[in-house]
Amino acid sequence: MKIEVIGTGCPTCKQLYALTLRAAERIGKEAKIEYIAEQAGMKRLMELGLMRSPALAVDGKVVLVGYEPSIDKIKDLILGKE
Amino acid sequence: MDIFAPLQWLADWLIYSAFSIQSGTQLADSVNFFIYDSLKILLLLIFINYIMAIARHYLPVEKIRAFLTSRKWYGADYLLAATFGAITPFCSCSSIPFFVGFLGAGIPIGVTFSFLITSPLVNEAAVILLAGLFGWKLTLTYVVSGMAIGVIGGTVLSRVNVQKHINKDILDLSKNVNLGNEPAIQKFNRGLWLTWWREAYEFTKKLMPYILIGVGLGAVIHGFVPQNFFEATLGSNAWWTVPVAVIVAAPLYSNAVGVVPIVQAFVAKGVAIGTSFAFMMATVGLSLPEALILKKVMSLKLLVAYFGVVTLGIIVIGYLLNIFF
Repeated sequence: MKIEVIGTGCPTCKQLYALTLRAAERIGKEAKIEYIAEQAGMKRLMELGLMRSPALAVDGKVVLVGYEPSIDKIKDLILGKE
Repeated sequence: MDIFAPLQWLADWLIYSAFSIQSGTQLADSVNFFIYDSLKILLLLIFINYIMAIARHYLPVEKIRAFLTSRKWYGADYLLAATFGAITPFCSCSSIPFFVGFLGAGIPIGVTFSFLITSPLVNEAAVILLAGLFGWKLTLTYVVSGMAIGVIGGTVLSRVNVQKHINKDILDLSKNVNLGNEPAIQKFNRGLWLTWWREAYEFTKKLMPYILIGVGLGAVIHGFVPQNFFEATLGSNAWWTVPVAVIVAAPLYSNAVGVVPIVQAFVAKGVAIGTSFAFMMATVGLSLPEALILKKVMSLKLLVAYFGVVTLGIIVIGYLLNIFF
């Protein structure tokens, strides 16, 4: 499983990355978490057709955009429950 | 009937019975304002944030972009962008992807500015709070004025030479824009009620510090500033109070939600409506963090022009409100 946290490098993006790391830790599943920020993050956002930051994508599919939710919500999103 | 009356009973009971603060004192007035206003604002915000979670779900900014590029609008796009700006919550975090995304889709720079100006200025949370605290007439005037600044400001800035004043990296990035690749909107299912509720909760939680500080300052003004203090110092709302309010507010940074209770206290102490609203609009619409982010997108000249246009618009609206209300 590949998880991407994509952002412009803003505080919210860093926060989402930190929360995602903790969510993955709680799940305990092997997952590759990538933090894509600054220029590269912008490029990726445009590729995905997004205009809000940050975004969370699981296996290339965008599951969350624009805000940082609770750890539980991220867990559900990673597990595909929502 | 005032639907918030139970909150007043609760505040009164807490202060006079539970805390046994003597009624009629400055402290009692302050604490009463604090408890009543915090509770009222909290309820209004949870309600509006829930509605906005639904709006965001069905009308994300990516869809708005698709709509704006779907046909030729012959100038109506300025008004559309201002309208979307008013209803879409926008975080300064997203300023850059927003800019790149709009430019890359071929949306005119003026239309982009219309959206960018209106978005923080006319903010759904501020609107519901203003409606709850000042009534609908004033709120509507505020919304229309904010959108007018957006449309006029965008039109003025539409003459900008994009190649010259927009950062080269941003122009390069805008070539990566992949139109039509937006994530699909999830079909309605019952689980969404809960998702929206969580979003509303998270958003409201994030606004709490702003609300508490705003209501706290409002409470201090309410209880401890003498009734004629502003009238004495501001010379019965002389003409220069509007620009001064804007200059004082510009370096302050707050969410609209944090300023509304302060504005409410100002108005209660006799500061003119237009002056108070100019203060609020300048705090929200002219922010240093936003300027720092936008500096990465555009030349200093364009940035100054952008802030100049917004400042001028706020001052004009301040005067108009002072004349008519």
